[in-house]
Amino acid sequence: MKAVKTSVFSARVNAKDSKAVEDLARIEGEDKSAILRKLMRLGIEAYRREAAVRAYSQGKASLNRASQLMGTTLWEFLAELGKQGVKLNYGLEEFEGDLKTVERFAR
Amino acid sequence: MGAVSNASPLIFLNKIGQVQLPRKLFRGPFLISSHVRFEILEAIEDGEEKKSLQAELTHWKVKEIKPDLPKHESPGSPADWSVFKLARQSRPDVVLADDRFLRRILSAAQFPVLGTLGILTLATRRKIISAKEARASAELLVEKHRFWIDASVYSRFLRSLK
Repeated sequence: MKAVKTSVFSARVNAKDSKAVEDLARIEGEDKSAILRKLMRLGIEAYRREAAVRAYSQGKASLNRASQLMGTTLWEFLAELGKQGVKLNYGLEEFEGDLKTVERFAR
Repeated sequence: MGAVSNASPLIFLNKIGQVQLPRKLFRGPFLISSHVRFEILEAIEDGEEKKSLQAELTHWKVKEIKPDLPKHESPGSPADWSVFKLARQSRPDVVLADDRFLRRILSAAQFPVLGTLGILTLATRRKIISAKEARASAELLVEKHRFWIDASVYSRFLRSLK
């Protein structure tokens, strides 16, 4: 079996979250570490998606860069923007720029 | 000489059956970086969309580019910087790009830039497609392919076709 490289870090959580992890561990019959790993995977994926879309819509990341932040392909990121109804970073300024180029090549 | 393209204009034009427009509008060579080629064909599902993109890319020369990445955090990806470097190396007549960040660095370096809607507009002016076809293509992009743009851009585009 292939060994999975792991790292250890500690973090404080509030009593409510700690209780939730303990409850889940008991119900699922797993140890708390396993539950925390699953929760992190779920959380990281959702958080990356949210952060990538936010970075794109705020102009902090290009389309390509944002798809990397989301950990996905450009196609999937474009689909995600469409799903969330997020406008492309292509506004009037960009279209006016296009029109200047159009004039240059129109003849 | 020629044209350099980023991924999104080719992806969007392909979705509306107009991926050959850049080659009808400009003289070659038609260049893309290996980063851009990878992005276009990465994870695309098998089917007509993939077939037509693959067929179109046989007309585009793929250049291996090692992008010069800035030392500070940048909104651009290695693919964006590879387009910029390819443009600087090949001095094309035009660079095809939609994304604001890439367009800004290209414009700052004095490259003429054209996005998907600009390509449709130019094709109309040059009578390669009719205004009616350009409008129908833009509608298809927005309504079917979720090419979300501001209403002001869309109405400006429609006015530019008259």
